[in-house]
Amino acid sequence: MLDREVIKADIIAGVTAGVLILPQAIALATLAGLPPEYGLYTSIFPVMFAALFGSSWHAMSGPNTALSILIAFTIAPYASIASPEWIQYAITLAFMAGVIQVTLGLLRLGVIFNYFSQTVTIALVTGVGIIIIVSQLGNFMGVLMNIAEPIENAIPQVIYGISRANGFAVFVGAVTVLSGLLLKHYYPKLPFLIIAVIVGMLFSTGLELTLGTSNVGLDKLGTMSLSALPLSSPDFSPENFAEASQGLLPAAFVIAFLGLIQASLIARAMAIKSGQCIDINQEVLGQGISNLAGSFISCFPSCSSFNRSASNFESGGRTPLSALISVVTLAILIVFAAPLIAHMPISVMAAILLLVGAGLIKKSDIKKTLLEKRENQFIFALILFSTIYGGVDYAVFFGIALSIIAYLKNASKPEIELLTGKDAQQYFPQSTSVLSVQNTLIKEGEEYYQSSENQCNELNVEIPKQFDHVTVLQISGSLFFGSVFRLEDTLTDLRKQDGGKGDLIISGENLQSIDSTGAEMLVKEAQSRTKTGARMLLWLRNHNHDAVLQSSGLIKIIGEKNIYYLKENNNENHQDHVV
Amino acid sequence: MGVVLIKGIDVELGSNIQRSLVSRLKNMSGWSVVLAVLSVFLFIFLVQFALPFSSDSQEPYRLVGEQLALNGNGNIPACAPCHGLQGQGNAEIASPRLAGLHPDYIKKQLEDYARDPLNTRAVVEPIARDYVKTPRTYGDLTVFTPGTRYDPKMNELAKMLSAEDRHNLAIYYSKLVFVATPKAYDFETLERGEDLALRGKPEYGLPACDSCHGPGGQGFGAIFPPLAGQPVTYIIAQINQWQAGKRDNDHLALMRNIADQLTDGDKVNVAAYYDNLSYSVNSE
Amino acid sequence: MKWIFLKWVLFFSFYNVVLSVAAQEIGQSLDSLEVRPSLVNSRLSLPTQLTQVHVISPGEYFAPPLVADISDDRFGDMVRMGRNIFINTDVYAKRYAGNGLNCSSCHLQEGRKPHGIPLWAAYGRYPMYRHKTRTVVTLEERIQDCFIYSMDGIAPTLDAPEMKALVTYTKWLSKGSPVGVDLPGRGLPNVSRTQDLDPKRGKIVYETRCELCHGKDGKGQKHTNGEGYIFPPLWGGDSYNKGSGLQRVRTLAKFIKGNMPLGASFSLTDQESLDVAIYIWLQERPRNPKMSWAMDFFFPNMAR
Repeated sequence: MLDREVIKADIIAGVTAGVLILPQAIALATLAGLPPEYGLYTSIFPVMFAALFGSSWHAMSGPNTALSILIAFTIAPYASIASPEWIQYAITLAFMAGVIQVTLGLLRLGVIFNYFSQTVTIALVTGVGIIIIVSQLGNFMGVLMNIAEPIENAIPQVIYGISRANGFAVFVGAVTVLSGLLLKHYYPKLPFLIIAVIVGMLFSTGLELTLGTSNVGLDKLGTMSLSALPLSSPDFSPENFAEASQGLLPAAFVIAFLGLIQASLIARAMAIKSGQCIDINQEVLGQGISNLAGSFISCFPSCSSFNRSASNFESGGRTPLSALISVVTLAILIVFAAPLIAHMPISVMAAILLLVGAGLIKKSDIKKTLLEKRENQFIFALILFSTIYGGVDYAVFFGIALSIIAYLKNASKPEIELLTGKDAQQYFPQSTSVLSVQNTLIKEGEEYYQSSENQCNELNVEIPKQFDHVTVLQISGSLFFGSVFRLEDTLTDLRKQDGGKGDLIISGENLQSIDSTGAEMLVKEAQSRTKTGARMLLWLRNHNHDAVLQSSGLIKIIGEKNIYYLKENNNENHQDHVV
Repeated sequence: MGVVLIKGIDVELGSNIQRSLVSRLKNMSGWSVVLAVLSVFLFIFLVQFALPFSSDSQEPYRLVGEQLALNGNGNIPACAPCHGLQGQGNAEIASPRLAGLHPDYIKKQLEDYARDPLNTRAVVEPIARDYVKTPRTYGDLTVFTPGTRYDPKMNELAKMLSAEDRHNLAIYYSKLVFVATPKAYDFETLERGEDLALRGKPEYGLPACDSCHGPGGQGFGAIFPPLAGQPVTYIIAQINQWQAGKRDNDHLALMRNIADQLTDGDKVNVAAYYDNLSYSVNSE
Repeated sequence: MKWIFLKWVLFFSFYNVVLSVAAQEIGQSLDSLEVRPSLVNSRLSLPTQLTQVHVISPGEYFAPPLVADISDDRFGDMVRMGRNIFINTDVYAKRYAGNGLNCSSCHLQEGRKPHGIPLWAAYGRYPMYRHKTRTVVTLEERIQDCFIYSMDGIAPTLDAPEMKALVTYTKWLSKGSPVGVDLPGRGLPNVSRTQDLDPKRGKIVYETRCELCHGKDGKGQKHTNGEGYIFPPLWGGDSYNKGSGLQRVRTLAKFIKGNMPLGASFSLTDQESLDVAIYIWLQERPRNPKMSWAMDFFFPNMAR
């Protein structure tokens, strides 16, 4: 797999990714309330572990915007920003999230992340983008703000802060934002974030040389204390952890879930692009190991990042080697760039975060999901509102609940149709195999009916009189506890029509699954009809549902001879009276 | 790259002799060149271990000094009976630890012991002092004497030592290994002592001992001797000497000013603090 | 006319008599506690001129709390962190410090020494109007200025943990000090010149009194393990920059007069302090952040 061309492509992609990650790492660490060196640690070690242990070959891990916001809001009530206690809590969170993710992976529960609705994720990410933009406006202006407040208080703070704003900081930040936007528009292939940083820093240095550093008065990032192997460990000791455990334990779950939602989305997106088969449980395991191991090397929680994975793929990365190369590139870059990073103005970093936040609000995705279904609009609005006002953690829980409800709602809509008259004819069994029934699987219902009808007419069969008042109940989909109520509604309607005395043929050819509740519903109906002397017939595709029907007693009530099965092969011209 | 280098040499040099050398080099394969270079480095590296420690050119002086310190020499008595066999000092007779001290410091102290107090060859510095406006402390000196140090035993002993003796003894004692045994004191004494050692007495303008004598009292350079590992009685006795004016061989009258601001309790506290520290010197 | 002359003679002689009596009186009026042993016993070295003793009596200055009394809770942790930053700035505030100095290099003895810019005298005066910035500044903003100029570094943001720690330490050190009052021992003592300042005399003073600790080239001396300075650099790349308060000759002279040589405060005369201050002022140090590059290039020593 690793031949020279692939290695070369990987090296190029890795170097590009390593250069790209540098401004984001610092910005996202500051967003999470941590000193910038922790962003760099998190861009190095978890990336290695996720690349080596994860299943996707193109997904790149590292600090994540939504997780950083979540960490900041979670730890804020328990420690002052960037203090040693804050850092310790972040590392402990990484450990806990890693444990949860590893457990999910080992229990092969990775598949549940396929069930999260796309709308919820898009709404979450849009909300995070808005939060980032509002929270960074203070840094952009060079004004100290209290961002932990609810957003309706943050906006007046921003407005009042405009009069106190440091004009130079706004100027430098605006230059950075403008250059980033222009680059993204005209030269989309270039890594626009790092070039915007360089432009911003050059501009600020020019301002300072012309006017004097302390006259310009830009807040700077400061010298980072980097160490080659920054060992750390999660701290669960009672005196340090007990008071914060109430907030941190649920937050660890949210972080684990949010990270895995994004990771699974990205892994699947990369799989579609590249054609690689993804083992979602392995991916979950890789993310868990990266967080778990990262907590021992001073890393805060991280997960796959969509823009880095996409750019990695587009730069030609084909194997996890590109992730490893990016790690090495970043390490080398830090060694040389650390003295320069010390002089990065904070408004440049805020501008970078504004660009990142604006990039999270993807208009095309939002439009697509809103136009798809009516209920998507409702879900989107709800989750967006709860993200901005309640915080990302509440929004994630809420989103999980909404996803489950939406999924159940969709799953519980079996198609139930009542057919009478001519449409019902093809379900009539005959003692002789005169009526030929098409046994092929036809996707469109009309086609089936038409062809059978034609055949009926060809053979010129007379319809027996006793089947005049017969109704066919066609059930497609799943009949389980969640969808039983629909069947109940339909049967009630039917009872109103024919008084409970007509014959009933249940066509379960496209019935995918039936559980005991559904079977009991049918049993109830069968009992009521057979009491009045009506007949009940049952058409099934195969013997898969026999166990359930047997145990519920349906077969006994209906009678074994009244159950018909379709044969699998297409050219059978007679129905089999098989039980 | 080696090939390119050799090519360059080939182009520049024109004589036959160089060409044959170059052609010989060119005929060597790349790997053998690398191997040759590596073996040269290996040889140099190994030679360092084969030869004895040639970096220590003080060894002969140290040996002579060891002889002198342990056994004495004729009239000169040995140092070890009072200063300890390992130079660790003796608390009962207030004799200082000499192990690990800076050799220049030992030499200067021996010279000061040997100096005749009445014939110090004082040097008057021609600085115009303006005495009109400012009150000064008495401690300042326009006259910078090299100073003398009074001790009944050491004054005679030091006079017997020649310059070479002083050098040898200094080298020997500076290379001795010393590991302090911390002694227990009650916490109030230690707290007060630590306060003096780390913060001094701000209201008196007394600086912290560690600000010149190094963190942990480990000493700094040849001028500021270590306080850690010195016997308690020695430190107290020396402060008393500064206060009594019997010792004035400090630079810039620094210690005299400082000693004049220490009470008896302070002396005990700070000496106890330094006696309580773990400290080692020259130990690998 | 005669009476005026006689009045002058009488006054003059009376003045002399009073002075001589006063001189004797001074020697006898010293409190017995103030008499130090070396005054009483004869000294081996040449005798010095005994003049009026400038005694810093212990009852006069504010006494900050002891380090052993820092409480064991979160507040105490913050105080300890602030103290660590104060005495070991280039390690604990590495993010913002730009040179080899510590806060305690100038705010002597961990910010406790009277006449050594003590912190306890400063805390109660902030927020104050500062002529340098023409605004009312808070303590945090003042500390920011310290980082920019004296530490030649980057100013911490007002919400940085290092800033919080330093303010907490300052507050703890000032525990019990009155607010808004000019305490004795605040800042630096006064100096006044008697002659024009001469850097050549200052060089002699530096070589005889300062070089022993601060090094021949003014670059200070580093600890034996190479980390940090035991005697801070007075000029050169690792010292304070040209925007610092110590770059004013008068301020530097006041500092030297009241604190240097270490342990021998007030041992230099005013003129000596001023001379050595101008000698130090003339040396090279990092550029003033308030100056643009062009101004600094063409007018390197221009006052702010």
